[in-house]
Amino acid sequence: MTGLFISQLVLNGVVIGLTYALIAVGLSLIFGVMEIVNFAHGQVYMLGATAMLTCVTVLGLGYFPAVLLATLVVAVTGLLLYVTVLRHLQQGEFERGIILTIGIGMVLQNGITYLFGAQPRVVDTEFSFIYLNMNGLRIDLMRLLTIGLSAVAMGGLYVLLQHSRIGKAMRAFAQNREAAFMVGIRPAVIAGTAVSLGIGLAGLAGASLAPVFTVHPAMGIPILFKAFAIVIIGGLGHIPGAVLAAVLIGVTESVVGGFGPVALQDAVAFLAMIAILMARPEGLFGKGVRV
Amino acid sequence: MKLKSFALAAVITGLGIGTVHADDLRIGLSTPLSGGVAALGQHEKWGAELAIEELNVAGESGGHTFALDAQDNQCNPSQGVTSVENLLRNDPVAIIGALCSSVTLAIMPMVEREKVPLVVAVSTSKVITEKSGTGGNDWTFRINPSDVGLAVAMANYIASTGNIDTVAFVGEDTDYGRGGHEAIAAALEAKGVEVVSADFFQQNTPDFTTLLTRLANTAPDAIALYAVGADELNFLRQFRGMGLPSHLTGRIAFDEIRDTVIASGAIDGATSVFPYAADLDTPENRAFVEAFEEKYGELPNYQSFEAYEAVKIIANAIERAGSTERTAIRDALKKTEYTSLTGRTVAFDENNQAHNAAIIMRVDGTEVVIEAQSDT
Amino acid sequence: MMARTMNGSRAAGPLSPDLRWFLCVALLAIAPTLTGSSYMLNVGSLALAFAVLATSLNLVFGFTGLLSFAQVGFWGVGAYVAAIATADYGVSPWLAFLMGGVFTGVLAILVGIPALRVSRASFVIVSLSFTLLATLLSRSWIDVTRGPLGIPGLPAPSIALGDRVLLDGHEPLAFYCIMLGFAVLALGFMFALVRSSIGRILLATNQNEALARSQGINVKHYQLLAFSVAAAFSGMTGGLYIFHLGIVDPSIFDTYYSEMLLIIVILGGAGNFWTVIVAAFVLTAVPELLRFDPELRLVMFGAVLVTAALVLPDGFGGYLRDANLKRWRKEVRP
Repeated sequence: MTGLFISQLVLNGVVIGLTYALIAVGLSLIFGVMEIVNFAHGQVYMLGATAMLTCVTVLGLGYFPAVLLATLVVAVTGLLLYVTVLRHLQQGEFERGIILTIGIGMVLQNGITYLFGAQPRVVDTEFSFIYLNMNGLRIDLMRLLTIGLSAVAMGGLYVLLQHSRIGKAMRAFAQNREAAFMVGIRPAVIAGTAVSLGIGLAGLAGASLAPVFTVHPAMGIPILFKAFAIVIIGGLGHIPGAVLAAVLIGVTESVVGGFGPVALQDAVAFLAMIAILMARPEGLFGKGVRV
Repeated sequence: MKLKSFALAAVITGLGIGTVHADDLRIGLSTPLSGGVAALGQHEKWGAELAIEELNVAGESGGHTFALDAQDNQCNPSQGVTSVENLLRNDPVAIIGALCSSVTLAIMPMVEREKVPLVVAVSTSKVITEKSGTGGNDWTFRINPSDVGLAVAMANYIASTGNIDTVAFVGEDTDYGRGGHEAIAAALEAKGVEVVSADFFQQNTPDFTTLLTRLANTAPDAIALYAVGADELNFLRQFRGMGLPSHLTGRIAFDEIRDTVIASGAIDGATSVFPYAADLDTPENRAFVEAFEEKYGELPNYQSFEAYEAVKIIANAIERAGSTERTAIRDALKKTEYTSLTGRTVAFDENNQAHNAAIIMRVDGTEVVIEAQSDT
Repeated sequence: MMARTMNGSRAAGPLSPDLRWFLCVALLAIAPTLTGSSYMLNVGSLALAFAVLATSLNLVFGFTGLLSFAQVGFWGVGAYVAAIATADYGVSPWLAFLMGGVFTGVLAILVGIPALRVSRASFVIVSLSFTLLATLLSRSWIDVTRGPLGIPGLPAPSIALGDRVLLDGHEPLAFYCIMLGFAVLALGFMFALVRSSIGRILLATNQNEALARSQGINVKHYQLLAFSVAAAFSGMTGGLYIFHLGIVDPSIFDTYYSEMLLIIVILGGAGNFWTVIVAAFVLTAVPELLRFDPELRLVMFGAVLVTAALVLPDGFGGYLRDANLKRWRKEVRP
């Protein structure tokens, strides 16, 4: 019984950790390339969920086409945000980036509230209410699909960054903007792609989690602060670090919550972040910006 | 389309271009019309509007006509104070408020200072009762049962089932959850039922799998849930997935989840103690539900019911007082004997607390049935 | 820096710019008392609270260059300290709000030392975490804060001589006057600070930290000082305003306040003393008077924030300064 209990806790932790990862990776990517801490990241996650809701309930799409379309909508929104707003940020304008993204977040969240109302909504797809039971270990099929999509997206991102031309350019840009510019890398294309990718990943997280959780305008806020903590623990701009930190936090939270009060579970990410800031400000996994 | 006209209406009332006549008696309403619990506040407003419409058509209440002045308090005490300041500018005969207990507690000293009757219709904190009535705040009246009244009703029911000895409490970390826990723990203990654990989660928590896994491991006979809105939906949807053997009870707003969780069959057998159920089978309630559904396209809920009754109780007091002077209205309110839609009589005790019924509901498959009505 | 000095020394009229701004703000501050409406007075009290809060953020962000999300945290902590002091220890509201300020001033030093250790980026995150942690504590540390129910029934600051009540803080006009008195002292202190040699050092380190350091200035000490002074005034504002609300509860830490403060400082112009105060009045009063739908209001505020940060990087104050500068250049040109 205890063995099963702990296995279930760890399984829950890995699952929730991988969904954190999807959100944290986008945040880390945008920071790595643009040096922007995206305070609107929780709201684009919410936008993904709202788009998913619309795709399923209004357009009547199935799960996979709806996730795809919703993610695309958010990625395009990200691109538009880059072209209209974030493009104007100069290097080193760290605070201005925060202010701009807070403003964007306010518009998104309250705009969605104004249009759709604040009441929570649920998205039921053809895979809802299916629960798998493996020798007593339980998992919801929707969650399994989410981590599947999460793994595919992160694998894709890895390949993109390591092996494609634009990925290599992105990494070069992150390391040294001016040098990258001199060797003919076009900053607007690189930064636009990175912002769109990062925001699209948050949109994917929102879309795939919409059927797991309920959809409402404030859903992105608690997840944003958790993602901040994860990104700092993993090292700002360090993408594999963010993934590892996300899973680590997910599992720790789950095990702590399995034995202690819920309030302590909520505090795990924060306490870990404060400890890291004190002891190892560059994050758990190394120094500096690494995409 | 409904959305748009609703938005337009909100803008129009926001700008103060309502159809208010100078000689209308104004009833103030402070409730959340934006923010996380705006949907509940909207229902409260609808309930009050319907009651006013009926009063104005029927021309009861000694020839007076009424108008509703609704102000948003965002479930935030400081916004609540501002909302009541706004209401006071229009010289209301009485105020209904404020949905969230913390906001109600914040505005109670204001109505006492300004000498305006306050009818509390939804907030359940027991502190409101403790502070009201003879020797305390004599301008505050509460028509809905307090946490204590509901907890006693629930404890009696749980004890009467005979097969529940241990209860795990799960509540949101707000006045609602904390106040509910305090009341239910005392009431259950008095009945010899043990509360084995209490967990308070932050509002807006998406994931409950960890908590549910722990509860599945400790396996209490019952879980008492005190949550609203998104949290309630999230908890209930995840509840079944984790295969918990425990009986589910608490203050679950069945009216809010009828088409989603209940319709899916996920919480078959769950029970809930609530001050109101749309299924209540009295002729008065059937007429109310029908009128409400026709006007707003949704079933009335606890908030709409209580606001509807609050307006009727205020109008009734004005009629008996034979005056629109606030002190006279307050004195008349004290002597209220109003027949509620539940069939019971609303009358205030020395703490200005009324004792309407608590309704115990059970989910039977995908339907809600009323199990019992009990005293509070 | 150049522009500010020129603006400051320009002698185009009989009044110095500071004096002119002071008169402008004084007019704004007197306006609510003339209306005699208790509603306007209450909006005015909130505007004064925002003016002090925004100026304390301006001191940290505008003058010192550190973006802080801790101001709302300090305002809430100060409010809690004052409320607990009166409710549990019977301290008079007059003393209690000062205690709130002293507490947050010291707390800021304890938070500031680790926050300033690493970088500007980590300062932002630590200041944000501080506010979130304070919110969590206000909800969960039930023994002290009474949790989500908050502490209701707080007294109003009043002055009584024997049986005669000279000043009843429950009266909107009386509370407005109390708030005004406090705001004048607090803003006066912060004005003196930014115009003193300390203020010039803060500005210099904001412009070029490395250069300031090379001049032998201990940058961190000055940054800590500004952070602590700002926290003390934020705490006092919260500690005083709470007696107007009559209740303190965890919603005192609402993100709405953080967003409002940021908009006031950005639109007013970070680093401009007077325009931020004017912005506090205008941005508090306008939405109240227009009575917008709350969601629409926040959409509008968000859009204003983005637009201001894009096209008016130095806010309204920066715009005025540039306009003045242009006129001045024209005047000296033959």
